[in-house]
This record gives sequence, C-alpha cells and structure tokens, in this order.
Amino acid sequence: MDSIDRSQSMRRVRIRYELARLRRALLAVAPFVLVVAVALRLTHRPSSTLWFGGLTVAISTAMLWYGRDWQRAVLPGAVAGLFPLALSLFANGVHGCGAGSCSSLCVPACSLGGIVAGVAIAGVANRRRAGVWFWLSASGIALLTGSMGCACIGSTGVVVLAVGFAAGAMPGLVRWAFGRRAT
Amino acid sequence: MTRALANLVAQNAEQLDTGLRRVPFVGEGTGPGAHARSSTGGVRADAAPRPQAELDALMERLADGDRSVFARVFELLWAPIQRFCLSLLRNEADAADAAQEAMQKIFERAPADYDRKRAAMPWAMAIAGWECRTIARRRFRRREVDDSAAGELPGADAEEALVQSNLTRAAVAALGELSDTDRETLVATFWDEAASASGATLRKRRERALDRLRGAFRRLYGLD
Repeated sequence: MDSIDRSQSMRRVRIRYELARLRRALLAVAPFVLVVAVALRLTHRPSSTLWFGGLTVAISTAMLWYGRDWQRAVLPGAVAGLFPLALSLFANGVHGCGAGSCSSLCVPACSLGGIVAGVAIAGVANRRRAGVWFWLSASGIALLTGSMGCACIGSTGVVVLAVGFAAGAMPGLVRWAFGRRAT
Repeated sequence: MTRALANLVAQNAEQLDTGLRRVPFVGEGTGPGAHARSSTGGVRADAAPRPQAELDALMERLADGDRSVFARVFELLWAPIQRFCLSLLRNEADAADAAQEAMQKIFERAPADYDRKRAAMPWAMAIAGWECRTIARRRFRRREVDDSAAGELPGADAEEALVQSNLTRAAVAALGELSDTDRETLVATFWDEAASASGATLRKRRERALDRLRGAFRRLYGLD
C-alpha cells in the first residue's frame, strides 16, 4: 500500500472527476442544441441566431461543468429565455421582421417576452433565495436565448429584450435586495 | 443455531444486502470468531463519528462542484478505502488496484449519483466493494483461488458459490458479534419467524440491531 503514489492517484482522480462533470454538462446541454436547430429553421436571420445560439450553448456547458450557482442557473435561464425566443420567432413568421423595417410586431414581442423572462427569473431567484451569481448567470442565459430570436431586427431587438427583461425583473430584484439586507 | 443462520443468510443474501447497504463480497478469515455475546451485552450502536459527518457535508459540496474540498474528501476516503479493499482481498497488489479504481469511480460518480440524503461513507464503500468483487472474480478466473472453497452451496455455479460462501461467512461473523436479542430481531424481521416482540417495539429493535450490525461489519472489515 505504501508504494501507491498518493499524489499521482489524486491527480488521476481529479481528471476523472472533471471529465465526468464535462460529460454530464454536454449531455445536459444537448436538448438546447435542438432548440437552436429549430430556431435556425424558423428565423429569417440565421447568422445572428447561430451566433447567439452557439454562445449560449458554449456558456451553458461551461456553467454546467463548473457547478454550484452557475449550474443551477442554466435551466431556469434557458426556460425563461424561451418566452422571448418563441414570441419573436412567431412575430417573425407572421410579419417577416428585418433590421430597419416591419418591426411593428417584433418589438412588442421581444419586449413582452423580456418582461415575462425577467419576472420568471426573479420568481425563481426569490423562491430559492439565490445569490448574486445565480441572478447574473440566469439572466445572461435568458437574454442570450431570447436574443436568438430578437436579433432578427438587429441590435434594436436585443436592446428591447434587455429593457423588457430589466423591467420584469426589477420588482423581484428589489424584493430580493431588501430581503438580504434585512437578514 | 449458527448453521441454521448461515443457511438462512445464504438464501436471503439480497435482503441482508439491503440492510447492509450492499457489501457484496468479503474475504475469508473474518475477524474475531462468531461467539455469541450475552443478551445484556451486545454491540454498542455506532453513532456517526465526526469524520463521517464532515465527509457527508464535504461530499455534498464536491458533488455540487466545490473543488476547494477535493483534497480533504480524498484524504478522508483514501485510508478507509485502502483498508477496506485490503481486508476483502487479502492481497496488497489487488487491493491497491481495487482502491485506486474505486477512488476514481467514487469521484467520477459523485456529481451524478451521490444521494445527498444518505451517508457518504457507505455509498463509497459500496463502490469499493464492487471493485473488490470485480477483481476477485478476475482472480478466480485466473484460478488463483483454492477451488475447494467453491461449490459449498449445492446447485450453484462455482464462482457464484464462492461469492455466496464468502458473503455468508462474513455475515455470520458479523451476526456473531450481536447479542441474542439483536440476532432474534433480525431473523424475525428478514425471515418472518416469530419474534418475542411485535409492532413498534420490533421496528425499534430492528433499527438498533441493523445499526449494530453495520457497526460490526465496519469494525470487522477495517472501516474504522
């Protein structure tokens, strides 16, 4: 037993641990790749969708691999982001959104979707009494997911989404902040 | 009594596994003999020592992704796993292989399989037990084991018979550490024989008896 190189063993164990976490993260993010594929199929601006979708997948994988609050934020963030994504893709399908034109449906869709996503994230964060990192990471994933659809009208869509998200999340954020100060 | 108990254990290894958190294979030459203790004596219930509580908390954090506890969890598991594998396999080289593989699997499975509601050490020991079993089977297939140990149970495959035989011997040794009352309670619980108590009293006795049986296994197979 004395011949066992303990530090070598610990290193091997650590590698197995990290690889297991990575495998699990890739498995967990696989359904989201399907979401990106569907969004690509429906959008009129595939390059933006692919860019935001790729970024979301990469960041989600990293967060799931890392663990803790970051990991716990991925699913709520992705689900919340589906609201603005779905609404914007629907508006896109109905009205053919494009940068600088025909945004009469797309802008309201993105802002409404953003509000719903913000309220959802705030609700989950308050129920779980989550920390700052949860707020930041869940919000980031939600915005990236929604941007896959809202980027169809360019940066305006992303800004409108973010403003709507902030408006939806603000009451919950204030409640959370006051709750933390009181404890 | 001992022979009857051995037969009952062999026939009901699965139920015993449930109570013992699945220690599927143990080596020969188990600890102190199977002499009965007095009914007033018995084995003191093994209260969770502090390192166990620390390990549970740290394993939960490790499963959650907190790498800062990695070294400490490794340190808490390393020696017990090595001792456990050595006590099962009685061969340093095989035990070293089993311990190394077990440690890797424990940490590999921690994020996905570790149940935070349960104690970490029995879970880790179960994985180590399975690794020891794998190596023992491999050793058996290389015919390093004395074939006379196999086939004690009629109608069983030789390899499975060896495993069952070893399990029975280990279980009997651990049961021998318990008081008459504890043994009676376990036999009544697992094999539906008439017990001197029933209902809530029997359930309470069964919990205590299982705790003492786990403690006996831990002591006999080098987990302390």
